[in-house]
Amino acid sequence: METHLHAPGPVEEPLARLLLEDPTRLDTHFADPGGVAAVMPRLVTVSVTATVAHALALAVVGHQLDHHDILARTLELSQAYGLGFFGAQVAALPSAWFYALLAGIRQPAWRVAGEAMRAHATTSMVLLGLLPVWFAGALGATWLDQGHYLPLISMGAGALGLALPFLAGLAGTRALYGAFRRQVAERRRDPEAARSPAPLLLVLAWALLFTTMAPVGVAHFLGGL
Amino acid sequence: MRPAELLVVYLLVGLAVAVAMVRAHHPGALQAVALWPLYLPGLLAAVAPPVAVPAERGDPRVDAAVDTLAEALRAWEGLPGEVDPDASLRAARKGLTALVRRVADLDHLLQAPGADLAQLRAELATTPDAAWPAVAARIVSLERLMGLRDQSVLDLERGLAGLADLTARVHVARFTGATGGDVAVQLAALAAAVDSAAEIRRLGVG
Repeated sequence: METHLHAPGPVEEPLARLLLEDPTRLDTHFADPGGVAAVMPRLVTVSVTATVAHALALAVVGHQLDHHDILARTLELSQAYGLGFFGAQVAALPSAWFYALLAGIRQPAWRVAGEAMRAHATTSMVLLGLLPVWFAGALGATWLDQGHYLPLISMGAGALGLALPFLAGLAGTRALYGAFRRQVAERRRDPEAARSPAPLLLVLAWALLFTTMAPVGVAHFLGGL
Repeated sequence: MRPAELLVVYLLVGLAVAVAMVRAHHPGALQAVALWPLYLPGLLAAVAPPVAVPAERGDPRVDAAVDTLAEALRAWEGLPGEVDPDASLRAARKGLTALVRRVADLDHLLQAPGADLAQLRAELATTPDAAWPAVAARIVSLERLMGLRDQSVLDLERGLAGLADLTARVHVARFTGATGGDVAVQLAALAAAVDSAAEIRRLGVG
């Protein structure tokens, strides 16, 4: 694989292409701290946008049921999900560095932070794609509930909405696994390493760690607000 | 510390990181106020001073090989920006030194009293039946150690040859003006390797 030899300038390519269509192009930006610094603001922006959009969608759907203030509820949910996910991500960063070491590659801290943000941004991108579908379905379900026809459907739709970021997180986990495996294959240049299940197992362990901490964080911040 | 106080401290640190990012011309300073744990590693990597190669000396062949590579890298004006030559040279020296030490340790073991294979084989012929398995096991272990020693010597030669080859390719890249992508990849792999000895051995395999 050709290596980008010079620190890249501003990232001009569409983020959707970098995250979803051809993630190997983002690898070249992640090869040095300057590249990570150049792309990080865009990754954070898409993550924050998805968090707010998700919170707004939940608030609008919830308003159909209990008529609370949409703006206040949006702020509450944005803070809870944002802080919960961010806290879990920061807490899991050292584990990601350690797991990379177990796979035989020494990843600098800036690369670990970049890859974690890449996974989060990929999740956010997928979430933004899923939200309109869920929103339409959930609004329909709450309309049915107001007719007291099938309240379980609206409850299920609500629960699905709360869990949507975690479902979208499967895409983020896959992105992290792909990035991790490419690094192992590139750094070790060993056919055995390329076939090793270590990257998959370690990413699954990291994902389990994140998925355990994130809901606890979200519930904590939701309960405390 | 109460949550409000903790939040204030967190934001103050974020503010400091943001100011540092502005001074270092890094984008995303505003986001860094709230998300500084994600931005701090990149900022520290960007401002950290280069670490000098330690002056420790060891095996003359290793020193010569590493010094030759260091000289070639210093002379290469087109050295890719992402390559950290100090880290690569440190890893190369560490890996080769580990291999030299391994050979020396095995040589020391094989020169110890009671490690004479011919003597043990002669002893086997005259050993009583009860002690025969123990002597035979010693011979097997000794043969394994000799095999390990031969393999270690081969690995060391491979590593030295691989480093010489890498040096030659640096010169080729320098004089042809090529980008040297494959050289950059190998130097980065050396710097990133957890097991430097294994990585240096791999250089010579090709």
